[in-house]
Amino acid sequence: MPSVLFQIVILPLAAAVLVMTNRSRRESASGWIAIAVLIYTTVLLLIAGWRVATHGEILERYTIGPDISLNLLADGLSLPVALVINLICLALASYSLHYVSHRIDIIYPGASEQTRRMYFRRFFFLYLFFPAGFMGVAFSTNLISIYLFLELLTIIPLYFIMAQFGYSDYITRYKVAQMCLYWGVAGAMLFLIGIILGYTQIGSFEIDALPTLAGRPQTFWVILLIIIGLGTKLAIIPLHVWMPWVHAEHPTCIAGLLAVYANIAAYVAVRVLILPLPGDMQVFSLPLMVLSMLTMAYGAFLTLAQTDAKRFCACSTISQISYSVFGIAAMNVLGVTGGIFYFLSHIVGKAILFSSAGILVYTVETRDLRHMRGLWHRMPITAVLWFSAAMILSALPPTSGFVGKWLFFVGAFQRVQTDPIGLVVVVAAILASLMTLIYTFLTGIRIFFGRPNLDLDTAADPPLTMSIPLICLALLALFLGLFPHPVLTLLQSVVGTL
Amino acid sequence: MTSALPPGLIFLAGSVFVPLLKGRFKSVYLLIIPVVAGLDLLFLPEGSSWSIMFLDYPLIFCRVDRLSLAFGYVFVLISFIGLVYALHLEDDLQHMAALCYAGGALGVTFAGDLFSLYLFWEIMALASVVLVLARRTHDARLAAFRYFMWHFFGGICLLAGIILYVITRGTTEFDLIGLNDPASALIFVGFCLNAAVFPLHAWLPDAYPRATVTGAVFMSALTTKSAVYILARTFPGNDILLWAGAFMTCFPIFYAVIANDMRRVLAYSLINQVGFMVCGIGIGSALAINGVVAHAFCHIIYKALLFMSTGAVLHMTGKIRATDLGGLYKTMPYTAACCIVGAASISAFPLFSGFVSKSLTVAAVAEAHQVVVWLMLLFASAGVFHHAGIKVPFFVFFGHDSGIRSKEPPPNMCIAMGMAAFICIFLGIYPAPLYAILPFPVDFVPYTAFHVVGMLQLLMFGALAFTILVLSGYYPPELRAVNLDTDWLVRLPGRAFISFCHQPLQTIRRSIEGWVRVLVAGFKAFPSLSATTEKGLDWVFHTLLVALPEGLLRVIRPLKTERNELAWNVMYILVSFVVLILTVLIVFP
Repeated sequence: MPSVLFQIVILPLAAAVLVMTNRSRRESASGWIAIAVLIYTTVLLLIAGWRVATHGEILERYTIGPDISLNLLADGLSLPVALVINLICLALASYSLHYVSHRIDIIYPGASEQTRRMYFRRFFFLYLFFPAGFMGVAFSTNLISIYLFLELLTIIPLYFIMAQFGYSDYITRYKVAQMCLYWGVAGAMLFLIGIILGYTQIGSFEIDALPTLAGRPQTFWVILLIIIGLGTKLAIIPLHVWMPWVHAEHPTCIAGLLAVYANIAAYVAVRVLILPLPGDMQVFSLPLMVLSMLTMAYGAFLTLAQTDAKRFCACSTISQISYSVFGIAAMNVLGVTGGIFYFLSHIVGKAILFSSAGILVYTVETRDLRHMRGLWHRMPITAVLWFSAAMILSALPPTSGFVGKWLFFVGAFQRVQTDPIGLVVVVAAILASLMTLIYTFLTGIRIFFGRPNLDLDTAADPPLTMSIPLICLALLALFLGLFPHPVLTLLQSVVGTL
Repeated sequence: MTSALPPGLIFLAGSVFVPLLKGRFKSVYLLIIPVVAGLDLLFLPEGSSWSIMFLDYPLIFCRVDRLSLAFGYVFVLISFIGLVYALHLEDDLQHMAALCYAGGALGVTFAGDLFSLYLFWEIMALASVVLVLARRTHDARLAAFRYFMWHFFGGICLLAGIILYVITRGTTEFDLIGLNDPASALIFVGFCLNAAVFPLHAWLPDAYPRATVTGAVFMSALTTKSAVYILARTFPGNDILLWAGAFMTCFPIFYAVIANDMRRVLAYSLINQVGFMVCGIGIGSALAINGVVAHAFCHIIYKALLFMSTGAVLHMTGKIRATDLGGLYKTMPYTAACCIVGAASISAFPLFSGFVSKSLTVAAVAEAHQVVVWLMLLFASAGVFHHAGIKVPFFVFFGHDSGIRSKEPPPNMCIAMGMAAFICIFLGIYPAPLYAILPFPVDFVPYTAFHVVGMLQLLMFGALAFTILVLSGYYPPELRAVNLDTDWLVRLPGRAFISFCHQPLQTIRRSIEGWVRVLVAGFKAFPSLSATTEKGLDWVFHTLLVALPEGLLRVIRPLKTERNELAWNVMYILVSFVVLILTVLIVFP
């Protein structure tokens, strides 16, 4: 099949146009178009994955200018990442069908049928930019296109969806959307300055050319700028303050994608820094480990202090992203493999956790966790989803989280074997990771067990289009936990050169 | 698999259905179980059978040879007598425990491998603990706890030994083990504890007097004798056993003389009698092993008879101390007669069962030319008569008149005692059936002039000593006292250990707990602390940084940038330019 990767990146955008122009009488038609195209790209990804696994990497070249070209590369590293992200996009598109209708009811009460259809079209138009942006970031082979796709994600879907479908009143949600935009642009700007500084040295934006940068005096500054830029996205302290606001503001149906948006920077870091410039990165290893360890603990403590269901998940994202950063900061095969694997596991788990929090907000009609009690008998499916997400995030076997965490902690120990400070950091990180267990399960127990709240009589499990995609995601995490070998083999085919 | 079941399993399975039955049906059912087991024994083929694979090791439930068969017969026999004796009881717990206990003992007897041996060993220990507990007094509970501790110490030694044994020799099957490595030493300690070998005997006189009336009958018969069986099988001809046994025959005599509780006297005489058997095992010759088996057989019967008759007294009067009893022969002549038969048997009077068995052991010692041991055994024989043969009947049924006038015990007790007494006398007169079941062929004639005269001499001298002591007033007065025996060895370190736990360990625990509390309090403060920090960070980024342009504007506004202030503006630009150039020149020379 020709241009598989190009189709994967461009088709969601084409479908976005289709969504905007469709004139169907059914409001959910836009959603079904999005789901259809995502199913198609998922199939394409599976085909590409089969080819990568059997024949090695796929490279497609589309030259745009002398220095700029849109080359797409699917190898063992980018393909699993793209596949899992696409599956999450697909699941959340299905979840959104009901959720968006609920949001429109709340934000624009009394809207006519036509207005509602307009909002539906608008939401799914914007939504389809997410898969396009993520696939672009995953498959790009040069720095400029990575930058472009990151900016695309920040500006179009993130800003507009938040501004139009956010949770607070009109003023606040535009303000928060703007704040998110500033933070995103600031991060991307630092990233851009870094790559331009690099361009001045080697005269190329191609990732393939980056190894020639190794050993130069300016390389340190290039790497520092890129790391700070990516660190803004990764919400490493003290650059994390946007995260709770933004996650709390977003409609829950795409909050799961926000975790992807933040965490995909870890993949970018592996792609553009650790693999091409392993020698120059060594200085940053320990500081990154320390920072991510602090973020882990800080984010976990922050999560424990939250009473808002959505802020709760946001703060847990701060903590969780740092797990994968900790893994890739170890900069050896096991650490990076584990870090990327944990990234995949985290976005799956977080999509489930966020969405079940969304279901709670949707049915209980409050965001305050303290008002939710004893919901087990009313919402068993939601409870099961919450606890499976808790298991994935707490990295309990047999879920995928366990494999990732196991691998990257082994990698981290290999890294710090001779370094007493490093050992202390790793042990502290392991202790900090216990906090995840506490906050996910403790909160779950508070929500679902105990004496039921009398005024929550109407609470019930959500419709199947909301719960089934999430259950499939949980099964995916279970599958990855039980049979991690194919994915690990793919990852190590690229990372193994470290 | 085989035609016959393991007899232990019949008892164990039978015990389950006891609570389902009531009244006469239960009585019949209880008696049917040992009868079925006895019939089963008659059809048990020799050799190993009933082997079941467990993990990689075979569990052999039925290893039958002449040695195990002899013990199997007597265990089934005494279970039958004991159950008849206990028939009047309404307490299902005791019946079930007794059946499990007998099942455990039979299981030990026929176990062909160490794992199933251990299993039945622990069943026996647990069931006997229940028999002590079933007395339901505070005293019994404490004694049961001590008994439990002793036996589980032995059980753990045995288990450790078994594991080592299996590791070093790679098999769970056993026959002759012999004391030669740590594994066998641990197993040996475990066995010796159950055989009440000095100094591991303190549990016996502690727990038996405190067990229930009917439970004591089973206990006197099963625990020590199954240990004797297993020692005879695994450690025959061991010198340690020879001397330990000889010592065991002598020292309890002194304790028995000063004991006041009649069942305690019997418990000590039990140790003394087991001493004869352990001594015989120590010799290990065919004659000695025959003696051991024969003596165990007779001993089980007459010791049970003694426990039954003193138990009957306890059952009818509620008293068991020598100081409280006396003169009961007037109203309980039948019980008194049974007790005297038992006493005569244990003292090895000619024409009673003890005579035909004990002489075998003593002869074996003499044959092995162990002169010192032989003399010790002779002394012990006289001592037995002194403390058990005369003291028990004398103080309970004769002696000073306590004024108690109780009736004879219930008929089932009388029948049980009668059966036991009959067997004692029958075997004493006609030992051939007993000799027929012994493991080795017997050509021993007990009734020779030498044996009879020698034994009678010993007995006369024992009686003489008792008479002289009583008449002269030298006999230890009947005191209400408790004698702790070697329990001291355990209790003193135990007390020290507990006070160590109470004082220093508690202090350490308290200080650790204090620190943990401080830590937990600090840890609990972290979430709110980090929430506050987050607010501060938020303020820095979203208020301070956002306010920066406005602040700058406020600084710049007084600089008068309007059009009519052109000169000032040009000046400002020039100064800024110069400062910028200077900065660049200084920073990047």
